[in-house]
Amino acid sequence: MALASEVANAHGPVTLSENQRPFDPDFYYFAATWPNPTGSPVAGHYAVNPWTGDVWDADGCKRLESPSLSKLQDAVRKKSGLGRSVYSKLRAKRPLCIEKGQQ
Amino acid sequence: MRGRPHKSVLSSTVENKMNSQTSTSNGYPRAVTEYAYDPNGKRVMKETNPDPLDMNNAYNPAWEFYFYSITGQKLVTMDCNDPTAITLPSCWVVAENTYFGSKLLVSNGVYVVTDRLGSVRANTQGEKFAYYPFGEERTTTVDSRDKFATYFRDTVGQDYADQRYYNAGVGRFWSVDPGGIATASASDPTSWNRYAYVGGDPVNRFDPSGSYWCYADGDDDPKTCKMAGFGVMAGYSSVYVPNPEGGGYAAAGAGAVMAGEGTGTPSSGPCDTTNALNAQAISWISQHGVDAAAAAKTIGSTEAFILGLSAVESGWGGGDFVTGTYNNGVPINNFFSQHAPAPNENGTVTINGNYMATYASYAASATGFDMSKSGSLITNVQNATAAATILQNAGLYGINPDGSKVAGFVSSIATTAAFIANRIPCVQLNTRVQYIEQPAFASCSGSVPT
Repeated sequence: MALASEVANAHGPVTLSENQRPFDPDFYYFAATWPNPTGSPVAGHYAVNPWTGDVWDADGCKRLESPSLSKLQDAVRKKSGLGRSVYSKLRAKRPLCIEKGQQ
Repeated sequence: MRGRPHKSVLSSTVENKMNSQTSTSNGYPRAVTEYAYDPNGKRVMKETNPDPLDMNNAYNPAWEFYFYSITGQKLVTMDCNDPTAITLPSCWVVAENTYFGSKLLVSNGVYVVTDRLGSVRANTQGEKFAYYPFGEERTTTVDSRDKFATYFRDTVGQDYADQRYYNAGVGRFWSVDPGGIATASASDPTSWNRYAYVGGDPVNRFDPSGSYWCYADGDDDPKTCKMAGFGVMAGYSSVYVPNPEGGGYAAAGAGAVMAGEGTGTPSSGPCDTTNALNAQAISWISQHGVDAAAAAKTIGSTEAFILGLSAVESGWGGGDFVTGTYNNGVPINNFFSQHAPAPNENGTVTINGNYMATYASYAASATGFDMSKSGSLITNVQNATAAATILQNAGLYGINPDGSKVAGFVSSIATTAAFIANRIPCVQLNTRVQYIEQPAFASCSGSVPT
């Protein structure tokens, strides 16, 4: 959740709550919401790779990057002790999301 | 008004089994229902009292007892009722069940036909039953009888599943697997969720005891799954669910393979459910397509857009506004992130600072969307991009806390709607009745509905 928070709050404070996705057990999903008095409180969804710390915009299907996120991901990698080959394979995983134009 | 003076309180035994439900009003207990279980975890008694404190001169305790065979199947239900508590209570048999092996033939004294999951699909009273993949009824019928996957439906959202209780509305059990953490397998992530129902594949699996899921086609250890007596229905396509109105939808669980009318497995493509994206979309369509189509028709939108918007907003049904509960187990079912007060709501709940409407079902939520400002703004707008743009420009969807527009909101809705539109044909209409003869039981005594 800390990883997702790094990017989720870019446009104002949001609350992240875990979003169950039974069709994809490989990622953790979060919904970002805020107390919107006039419309939908949902500001987006995020998917986090628990092995690599990669954070995805689960709605737009894009991997998110930022300097602070990279630092957190480095810490995750060091803590996991994964070798480069295994890490690369894990990093290649994509969450269950539909890319723009995907039919 | 925020909240209500009425609420329900549930309590459980040390074995994590529900033993009482109390509805309160203004702090005083109103109706009470209490349950008792035998050492094997079987529910053996239910006591109800609409007015336990006799505040409305309606004090009337009633007891119901359940008797089981040595194989653990419920045979007899007996009611007892005597408010004096001085003489022995009066009791009478209210329901009897009959089985052929593990197969239910008579439920509450009525001959029934069940499918490969043990779900009751029809009876000799002319009723037909159809369910969404996780057990919600497509058209609600009277409860307090056997319904989905061998479970006894006490009420909407409360199925008695032998060792646990199951909520078909949210598709999971009320409590964790009684087998403990040992039943979670490191190699099967779907087993890590202790509340999950049959590992996310309700089309091909069922769980008669609430503690072990089994394959419906009999490929399991009979000691744990009690598979004796369950046969494969002749000519039955495992993925079709009949629609009482004459149409039907295919139900695909995770990993299920879509089949045509018994002709085999399709090649890869939008209908290939070995692809998780396809499986997710097709499951969504199976669960909500009928209701989404009806809601779309009302405002001149499209089924794909309604399904797409609700999928994104609710995180494919996994978000708090859908899976969350209030009043001790009542599902929120807010698939379109509608604020309260909202049309067609059946209650309200506050989550993360948001005062949200609650609904009885996806259908009710979709109808509420139609009746809201959002529905009126996109009336007769059939283009998904245009509709999403209208909603975002109106500030109703896709807005950040700082007031800026969520980048990619319109694109994600349009993309999801298009993806879903290409998979709607995978969920085929089927007018066949599913409860056709089963050769394995052709020699059963007693009449079977035709």
